[in-house]
Amino acid sequence: MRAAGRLLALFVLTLLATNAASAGEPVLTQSHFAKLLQHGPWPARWERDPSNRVSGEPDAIALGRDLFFSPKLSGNGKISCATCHHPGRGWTDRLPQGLGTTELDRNTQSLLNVRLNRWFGWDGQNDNLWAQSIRPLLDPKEMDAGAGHVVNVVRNDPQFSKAYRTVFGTAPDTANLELTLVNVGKAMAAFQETIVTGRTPFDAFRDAVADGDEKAAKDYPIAAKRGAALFFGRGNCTFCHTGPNFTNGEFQDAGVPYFLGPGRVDKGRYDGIGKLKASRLTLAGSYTDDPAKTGAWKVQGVRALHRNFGEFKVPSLRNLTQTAPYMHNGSLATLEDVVRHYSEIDVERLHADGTAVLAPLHLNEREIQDLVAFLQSLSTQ
Amino acid sequence: MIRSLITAALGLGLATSTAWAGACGAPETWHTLTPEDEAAFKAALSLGPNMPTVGAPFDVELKVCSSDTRPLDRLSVDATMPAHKHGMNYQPQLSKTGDGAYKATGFLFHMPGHWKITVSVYSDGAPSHLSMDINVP
Repeated sequence: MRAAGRLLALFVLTLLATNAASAGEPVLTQSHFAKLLQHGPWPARWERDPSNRVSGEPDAIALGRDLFFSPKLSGNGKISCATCHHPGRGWTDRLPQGLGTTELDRNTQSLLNVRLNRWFGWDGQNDNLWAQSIRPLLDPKEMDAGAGHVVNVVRNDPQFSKAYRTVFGTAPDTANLELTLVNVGKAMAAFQETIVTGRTPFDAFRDAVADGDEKAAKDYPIAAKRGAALFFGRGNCTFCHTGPNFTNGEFQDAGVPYFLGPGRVDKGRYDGIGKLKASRLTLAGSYTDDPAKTGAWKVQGVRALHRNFGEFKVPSLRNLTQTAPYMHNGSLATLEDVVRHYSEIDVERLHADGTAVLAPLHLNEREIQDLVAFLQSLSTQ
Repeated sequence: MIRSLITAALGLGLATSTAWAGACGAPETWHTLTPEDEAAFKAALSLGPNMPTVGAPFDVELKVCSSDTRPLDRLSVDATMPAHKHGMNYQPQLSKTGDGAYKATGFLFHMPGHWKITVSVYSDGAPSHLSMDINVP
């Protein structure tokens, strides 16, 4: 550890000199590097979901993939999961708000690296991926299918029925709709766990710093380095976008309006906790396959707080160039718009009694472009 | 020396001045909590082998004992960020594991910065508060 500490210090000094020489100003400090190193390594290690007995099983992944892309599961037979979570569109739809049987109130979240989530959906109303996979099937505004419809489709379709029996060892059971629906969710979750992103220019830079590889570190663009200094420094972006997946997995009021129209408000996490507490499909419930009920502490311990009103999940920033538009309501079209939003954020509308987590940065034009360059470096090329 | 190097390298910091002393028969590597008022109770706390990091759940082991003969009626444990005037998004679940020994599960620091873990001990209806400060990088 002592040797590693000396190596890091020497490398940081070298990089500082490099940065100063190449751009005429210092860019990243030792404090920045300490935070930067926390955002890796990447990719994340594979761990099967203990609540899902078919997690990582090839047959379940194959069934889940077929179910995910099938419009038969929807009430009108025209909408599949992939309609909104399109693999060619960053596993989202590139629309401001999602479009199911009608236009929705929120932006469609990408499924990239979805297995790493602690909470699912903008409001975190589910604590596991299989329950979250069922939710849009049953929502009248999304796929509008009753449980009976989904189970009948899986039972009556020869390919689905055979694959279901292979994966779960029994035929789809119409007498126990909820159990069969949960199994469908578990197969679809097994598939979605395979949706992961690769290494990015940032990861190469981060590992170069960790390894003391000065030559490799020089390949990272100077604008992205200046943006990293803002991200890990004055911008305080790592208050929420922290760790290898660039999210703390929790919820924040990001100063985005949550009024939907006259008399309509999106309460965000406030409503999400209410739905979570009312759900039978949590990690504390009877459908988890984990006898130890790993993760049940979340639903058992989560607090319903006044400040949850208007909070939405802190999204991962990985591959965010593929997932525009941004924010819970898709109101910001580009990364530059997002940076400008935070640069001039209105603190008066944030719920903050103490020192505000978010404060206007008043970035100049070059700083805005530098931060955008850094954010772009978080995406695979 | 080794600890200070690790702290410098990783940016970790325990702000409490009484860390590493064992109270209530706790191992000396545990952290002794600082009483905020009359020291009717003592408490020591273990964060486990690794320091808490942002966004990662962790559990806490706790030992509590009385400085005199006062009974311990009730116990609670929690954490706050004083600068931001908010606590955790989760209420830790406390269970007794032995005589004066407890385990609190479900801690999660969702932001970096200064956090304060507070143990509140109730005896004859009156609380005593003990705390320790942690700087989470």
